[in-house]
Amino acid sequence: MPRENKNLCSLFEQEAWLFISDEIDAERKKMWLKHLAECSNCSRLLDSNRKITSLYAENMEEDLLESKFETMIKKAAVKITFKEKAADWLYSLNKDFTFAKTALGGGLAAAAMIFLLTLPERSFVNRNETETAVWNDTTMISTIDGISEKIITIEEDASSADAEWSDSLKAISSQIDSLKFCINY
Amino acid sequence: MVDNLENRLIERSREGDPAAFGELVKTYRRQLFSYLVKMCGDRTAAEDLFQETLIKVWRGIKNYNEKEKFASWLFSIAHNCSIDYLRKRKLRLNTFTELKEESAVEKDMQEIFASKEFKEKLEEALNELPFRQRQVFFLRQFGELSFKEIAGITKEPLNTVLSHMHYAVNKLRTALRSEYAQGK
Repeated sequence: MPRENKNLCSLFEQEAWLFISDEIDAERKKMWLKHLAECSNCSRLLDSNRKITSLYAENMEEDLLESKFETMIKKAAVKITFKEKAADWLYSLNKDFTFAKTALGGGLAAAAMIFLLTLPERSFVNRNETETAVWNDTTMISTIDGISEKIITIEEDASSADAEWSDSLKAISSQIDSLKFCINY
Repeated sequence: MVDNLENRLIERSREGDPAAFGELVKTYRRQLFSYLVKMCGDRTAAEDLFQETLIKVWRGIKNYNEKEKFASWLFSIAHNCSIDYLRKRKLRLNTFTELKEESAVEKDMQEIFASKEFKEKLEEALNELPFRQRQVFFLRQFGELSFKEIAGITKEPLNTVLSHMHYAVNKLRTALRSEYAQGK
């Protein structure tokens, strides 16, 4: 047999199953059909492969009893409980994630927790937060700016000898300063 | 047309219709069961695995992607069940002896195949194959899957899968030839 044909035969032996299952492109199929028309060995191999697998499938199949099959379907096709769904989800999670990925995820989560817990406490104040203040039985609702202005006005009007009044104003003024600081006023 | 019917059954199964599910799986019943019997070598175990496969298919059918052939997805689940079973049983594979034959004897093949004794010899011969060759052979025989699909399920390169099939069939060919020679 010419060397060229031997190489083709060897190649066909490797690709025979792709040819049988029709998983090769049209051009390659054409090439093999041409070769099979000329090569009795490869043609015999192809027929033999087909026949053996066909006979095996025909003669070696197993089957379940119909009644058994019906019972199995009834057992399988039941409403899935929430517990079972959760178990399935956990199982798939375990299967899909390698230990390394799980460890990495857990480490990142722990690091984020530590970072958040060690952050200095801050007061977050909305710049548009309204403040309710009561002056001389009058309830006033104002923004921080408004309260600040009021305090300045009252301070100007108030008698300096009124220590209690002054102390109260100072306390409130101090609170407002704190709020301003918090919001980087 | 078959595909349309199958798609309708899949849709109804997703909606929770056990009857549709039964019809859907019935199409593949013999092949699926045969595959499991051959893979685990035990009929009782195969029945348990069949049940397990049905449960997993029912539960997972909402996540089934239509881009993949249903048979391929079904056999993929069955395959994984059988692998888990074999791992738990810690079944070991025998070594494989490569046999090359030029051709099989076609004339009396049908008769040979029909004999109960030969069937047992055949099963023995296939059981001697390494596990990876057996799984490819059975997926092809009973799943009727393409070799590309089989490569996807077994996570092996396509050429390796083809090679497994080639050696498995050679084994059968040798057993046939030997049986024929004895018959003479």
